[in-house]
This record gives sequence, structure tokens and C-alpha cells, in this order.
Amino acid sequence: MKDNEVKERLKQSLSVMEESSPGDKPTLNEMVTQVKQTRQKQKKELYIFFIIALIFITGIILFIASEPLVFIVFQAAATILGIGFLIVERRLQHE
Amino acid sequence: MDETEERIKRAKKGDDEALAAVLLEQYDFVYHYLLKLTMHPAVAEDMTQETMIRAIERFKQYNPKKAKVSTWLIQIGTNLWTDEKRKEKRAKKFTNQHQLEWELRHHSSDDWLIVTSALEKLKEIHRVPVILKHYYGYSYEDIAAICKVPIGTVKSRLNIALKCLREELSNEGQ
Repeated sequence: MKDNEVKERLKQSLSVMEESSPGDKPTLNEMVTQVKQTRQKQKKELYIFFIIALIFITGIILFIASEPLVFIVFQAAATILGIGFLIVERRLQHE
Repeated sequence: MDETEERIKRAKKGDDEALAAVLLEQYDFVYHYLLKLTMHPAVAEDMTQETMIRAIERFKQYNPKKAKVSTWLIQIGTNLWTDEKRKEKRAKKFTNQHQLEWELRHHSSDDWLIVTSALEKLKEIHRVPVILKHYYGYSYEDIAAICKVPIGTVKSRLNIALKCLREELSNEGQ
């Protein structure tokens, strides 16, 4: 069988699927509602993200202000752990 | 400027009705493309709706100078399908062919069943470019952009896909 014949059969067979129509196709009004709902949801998620970020940043600032030494120790420990993890992972990959 | 371009322009400015009209205009096109990928009408419908929601969320990122809205939607749909495949959430292969057969039962020829069955056996990385190239006639550059791979990879995937289809269809005829 030649490539052209395969391509032609493929084209003809796939064109049959154009006859199928989506059963749940929304109307224009439904689509507008969908657009509005999706945008509202996006806004809500953005607000939640900002609130969580604000709480997180406030917590860190308060922590730095009240226990600066503990904060520095935590930071140093996290950095060392991170670097250590990367080194171990690379060694395991090479093995 | 044609009507679609005008709508896209208004949609970019935040006009909800214009965006709804732009997406609705492409709804059938996206559905038929996803039907060819998934071979499953219900999954294709779900994914078309997901594609539309994703498009609403990201419409600000769409650049009309870079691609047609249909190409952009196909890119979103392809990504969604690839993600779904990766997660293996929708692996109900057995009912697919039957549902599609039922939907299109009025069609006289059954050659399309043989061909779509052969197409279904292809891996998704081969199925996507073969449909985009040989059915929709997209250029190698467009397919590379949609699949996010180099043009050379697209060409090699197309060669492999055609070879597999040729073998599969030749076997079918014997």
C-alpha cells in the first residue's frame, strides 16, 4: 500500500467524524454565563491567593521581628538541607 | 477587518459576549478535532468544554498575530489530551469504538472503522501530528508549535505514524 493511498483513506475516514455533533453544545447565552462564571472564579482564586500570601508574609515578618536568631538558624538549616538533597540526588543519578 | 477579528479585538478588551461568540464559533471545530484524537464522543465533549474554560482563563495570553484562534484552541486541546493521557484518567478503551460506532451508525461504509481503529493503535505522540498534517493540512511549523517539539521531530513522528498505519491497513486487507 502506498503512502498516498494511506493518506487518502485516512482523510476520508476521519471526515466521517465531521457528521457527529456535540450533544451538549452550549447556546450563546450559556457560553456568556460560562465566561462570566470562569472570570468570577479566577478573581476569587486571585483574592484567596493574595490573602494567603499576605498572611504568610506577615507571619514571616513577625517571626523575624520577634525571633531573628531562630529565623536565621531555620534559613541556614533549610539551605544546607536543600544543597545536601541536590548533591545526594545527583550522586544517585550517576550511579 | 472581518467579523471574527472584530470580535477577538472586543474580547481582548474584556467583552464577555464577544469572547463567548468567538469560542462558540470554534466549538464544533474543536470538538471534531478532539473526537479524532480521543475516538470517544463523550470524552471529546468533556474535553471541548475544558478547552473552552481554559481558553477563557487564558484569553489575555492569546496573540492573534502569532496564530489563528482555531490553532490556539487546538493547542490547548492537544495539551489537555496529552495531560489526560499522562494521568491515565480516561483509559476506558473498550467502549470507545462502540460509542463512536453507535453515534455514526447511519454511515454506510465501514472503512472508516478500520482506519480509525488503526489510528487508535498509534501512540498519542504520533496520532496528533498525523491528524493535524494529513487531515487538517497544518504546516510542519504549526504542528511543531502545537506539539511543542522541533520540526525535525514532527517529520520523524509523521514518518513513523504513516509506516505504522500502512502496515496496519495492509494487514487488515489480508
